[in-house]
Amino acid sequence: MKKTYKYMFLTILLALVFIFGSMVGMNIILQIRENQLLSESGIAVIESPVRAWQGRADGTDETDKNTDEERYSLTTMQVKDVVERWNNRQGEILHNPVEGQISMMEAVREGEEWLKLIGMKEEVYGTDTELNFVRATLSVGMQKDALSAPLEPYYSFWTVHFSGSYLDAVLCLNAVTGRVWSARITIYDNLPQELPYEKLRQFVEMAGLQAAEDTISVNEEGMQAVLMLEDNLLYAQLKYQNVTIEDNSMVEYTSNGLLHDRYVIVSYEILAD
Amino acid sequence: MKLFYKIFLCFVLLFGIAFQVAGFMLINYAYGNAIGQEKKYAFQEFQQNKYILQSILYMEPELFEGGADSLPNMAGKFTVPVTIFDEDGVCIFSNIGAQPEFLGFDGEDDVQIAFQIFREGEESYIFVYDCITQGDIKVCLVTETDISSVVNTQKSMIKYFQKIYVAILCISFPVIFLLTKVLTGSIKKVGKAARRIAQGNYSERISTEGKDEISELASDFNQMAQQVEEKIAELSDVAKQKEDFAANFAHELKTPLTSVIGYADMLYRRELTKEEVKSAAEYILSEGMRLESLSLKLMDLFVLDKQEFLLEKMSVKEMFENLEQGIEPVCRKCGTTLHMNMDDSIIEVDYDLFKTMILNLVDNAVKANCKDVWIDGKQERNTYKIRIIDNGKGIPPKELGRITEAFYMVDKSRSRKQHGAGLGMALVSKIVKIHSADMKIESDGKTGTVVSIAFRLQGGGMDEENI
Repeated sequence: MKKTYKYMFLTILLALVFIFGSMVGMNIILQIRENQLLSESGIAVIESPVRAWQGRADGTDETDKNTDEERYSLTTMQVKDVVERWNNRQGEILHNPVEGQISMMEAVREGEEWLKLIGMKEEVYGTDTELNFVRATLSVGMQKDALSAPLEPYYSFWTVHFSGSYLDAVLCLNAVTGRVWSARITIYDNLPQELPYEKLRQFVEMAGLQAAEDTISVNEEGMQAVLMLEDNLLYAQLKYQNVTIEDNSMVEYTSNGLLHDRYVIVSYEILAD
Repeated sequence: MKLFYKIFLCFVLLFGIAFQVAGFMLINYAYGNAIGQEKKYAFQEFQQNKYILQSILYMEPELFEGGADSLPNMAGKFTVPVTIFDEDGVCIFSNIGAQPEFLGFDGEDDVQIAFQIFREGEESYIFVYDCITQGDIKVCLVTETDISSVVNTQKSMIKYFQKIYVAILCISFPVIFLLTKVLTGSIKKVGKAARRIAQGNYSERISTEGKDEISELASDFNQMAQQVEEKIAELSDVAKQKEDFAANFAHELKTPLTSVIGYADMLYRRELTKEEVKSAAEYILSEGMRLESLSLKLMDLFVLDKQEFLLEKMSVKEMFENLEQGIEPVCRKCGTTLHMNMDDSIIEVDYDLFKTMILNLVDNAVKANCKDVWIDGKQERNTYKIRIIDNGKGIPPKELGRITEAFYMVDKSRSRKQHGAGLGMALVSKIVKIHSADMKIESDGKTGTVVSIAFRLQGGGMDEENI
């Protein structure tokens, strides 16, 4: 009988040793693994989500870049793909410019030029108005599915942010064509009273696209204007939003810390049909 | 250690190891994945802040020339703590606590960045480093991304896993215990049955439900028990037969000896008449001859048990032509007519044993007071059948089963008178067995006896070469 109890005791003891021994063993191994992971260092190669520009389909010599002719142009289908991907993005992947894409300086200059031509710089608001470049980032839109191969460079956009005393502007410029295909302008002073729909055609021309018809459609409320583009695959949209801050609501400040209880948002977009 | 404990420990060990290995692989994968995601996030954060720095340099190229004091609110411009070095490696601005070293990395390549995962106490960070050129200005940027929450989450996951492990073990202990009990229970049954058989209960058997290895073991055990039971029965029979043999032998020995001693004692002690002396001597002689016959036949029986016999192919006709010379005088002496009719064939026999067998059978027939003895031999399909037929007293049918037992005599008094020992048919039976033949005895107990012995033929027929 004593022997039976001895073996029973031995069994229980061994079982406990196995159980706790395996726990301790695993903890030790995990600790070692953690130390390995948390002491990792080295050089990482950042793979660009876009590849370098492959050249024009018609094989034009790239030394033509100094002419007035556009260096890089996209077909309407390409523009449609790009716009769809950008507008349906679920996130953005920042990256450095690749060959064929404009630099940050060029993007900022193009943005400033666009704002000037569209009528948002000091010519409209006076010389006291300052509209300064704040920040620019180059990114490509992220979809639900992971990228299996690098995309074409024209899928990237420069998002350029300008800010002034009475105005904020966020422009999206296509990284290859350098054209503004989306703009959101928040105006805090000299508020436009109505939708400036006549600027829509100018926006389309400055985007390097062609309108399909002369007529700009304006909705009943006068808050939205649409202009169909060539091939009817795309259209340009201009929206006007007049925002009034109610009492006890969040109040909007500009980057200069000025208080505004009323502002207008004017947004320009190229959208796919 | 009992099998129960061994199986139990094996279960616990396997379960423990499997669970821990699976847990380790899962946690390791999740940890590696989480750190990998954090690295990607850190690289994106770096890219974001790199653009911020480039934007600052674009707007204010001479911003960093005034030193750190001329950089108010610099920290607020970036999304994470940063350190900025000039191209000589001098720190221009920093709001990072620890300073990792990125020795040997010049940041010339646009697609490469340096990184380091750094841990200090409970805090963990990823530092990313690269150099930026904006116009003529070159600076180097380090960003710090806090991954402490990820690390702490992993630690919590490990602790949680261990708790689950202990809880599951506590639940599974009784399950493992019961399972082991069920497995070893069947084996215990086999052991109990073996013990009962060892105690003498040879008819003990185990039920064989199912088709697993234990059922196979039980089935094999039952077979073994069956064999053991049969063997025990066989040995018991043999022991009984030996006992009976010894008892009969002792009795057969005692009986004539008693008479011999009695008459000898009478001759020694008393003065007898000539006729009485002659009668006593005659009795002593008769019993002595019986004892001699008994001992000779016993010798033959023993020799048959011990010796290996080589059978030879012999012609039946030739054998019986030789045997007739020995059989004829025996028959003539008792006034019996011998009739022989043998078909020729070749059978495999030991001639001496064959002769003994035939002589014993003829002797028995003659002792049964028959007028005629017929011996015939005929080939039937793949056997050669020899029949010894007599028209004597016969053997009662109920005695036929015991006729080949040693010392068994149907009519003891007649046999003893004829100096019989009751061993003749036992001898014949043994010789038939040695020849792998079959013997059949038929009698109605009144009109005679037929003894048939069938010898197997090789190839189903006569061997023509040896005729």
